[in-house]
Amino acid sequence: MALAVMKPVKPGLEEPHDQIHCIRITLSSKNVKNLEKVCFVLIQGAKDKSLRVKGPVRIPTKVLGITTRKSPSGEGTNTWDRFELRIHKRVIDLFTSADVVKQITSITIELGVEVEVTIAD
Amino acid sequence: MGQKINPLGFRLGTTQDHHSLWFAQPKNFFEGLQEDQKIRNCIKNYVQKNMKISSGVEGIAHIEIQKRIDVIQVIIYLGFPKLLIEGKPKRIEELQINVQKELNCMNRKLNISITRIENPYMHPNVLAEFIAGQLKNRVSFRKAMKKAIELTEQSNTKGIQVQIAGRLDGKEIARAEWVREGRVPLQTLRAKIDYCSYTVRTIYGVLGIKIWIFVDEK
Repeated sequence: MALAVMKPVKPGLEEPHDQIHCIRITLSSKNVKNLEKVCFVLIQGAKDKSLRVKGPVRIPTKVLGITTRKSPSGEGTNTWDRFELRIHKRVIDLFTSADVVKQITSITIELGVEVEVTIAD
Repeated sequence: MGQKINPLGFRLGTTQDHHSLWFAQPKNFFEGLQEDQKIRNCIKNYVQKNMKISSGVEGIAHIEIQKRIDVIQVIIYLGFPKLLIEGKPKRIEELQINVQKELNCMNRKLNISITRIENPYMHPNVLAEFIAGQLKNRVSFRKAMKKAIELTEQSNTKGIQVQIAGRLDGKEIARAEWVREGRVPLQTLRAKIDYCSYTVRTIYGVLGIKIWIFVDEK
């Protein structure tokens, strides 16, 4: 299987910075719209620089629930409130050097979306 | 029969937005919450203290908190920003210093900005503070309610409901009285309804004020 060429190899000059890392960006948020926006922007940014991207992997949403009695006293029919907080998570894999990633991630900051970048070798 | 659910919480998914816009992993969520609480209390106390000196209605509608990696942005929506803007640079900076002391966190900058709301009396929080002021001055509660509704009618709302509960007129037996103008469809999710519940401490005890304002229907 032919791998897509990421960057033109400079004849003779191979800088140590150009080492290709496998970089994993994890985005989490309560809010699906903002999250999808950030995903889209990140992937667009990566495609513009023609990097190899593993598309947004949608990890199953975590539903954190808190179930409490509605009543302040013990009297009455036992009615319960079910509050929940939904955490959505997306994972994007990029194959580049570290500097390019910093460029990409510095541009997009949307409220309420947490971005975590890890470099795995 | 049933009891009423808080219309703000009911509509969070649709017509209502959150006032705190940040995300934290479940492990660290409580820190964020506590910070938010401290900020809001600090601001409210500061505003109340200063208002006593210059006697006016404050009118904080709501406080929005946005947290990014390095900055905490606080936006205060005020109905009558005169009091905080007249002594301009002083007051806001004082506020910032106070809040930063409370928070004790050096790794994040704090940024406070003030936004003015048009039609301050269209927001239940401002109205509630107005009624509270009236009740403390021993105005008859019915008059206070009617005055409040008059004020709202100047700005265009489609409906308003005001409820005051507790020892009305200092009577021994507490009761709840409410007045409604227009329509307030609490069951309709697409109806944008602003709600506020406010407590007033009088010499006879605590009075609870609840205000529902029907703003719009999508």
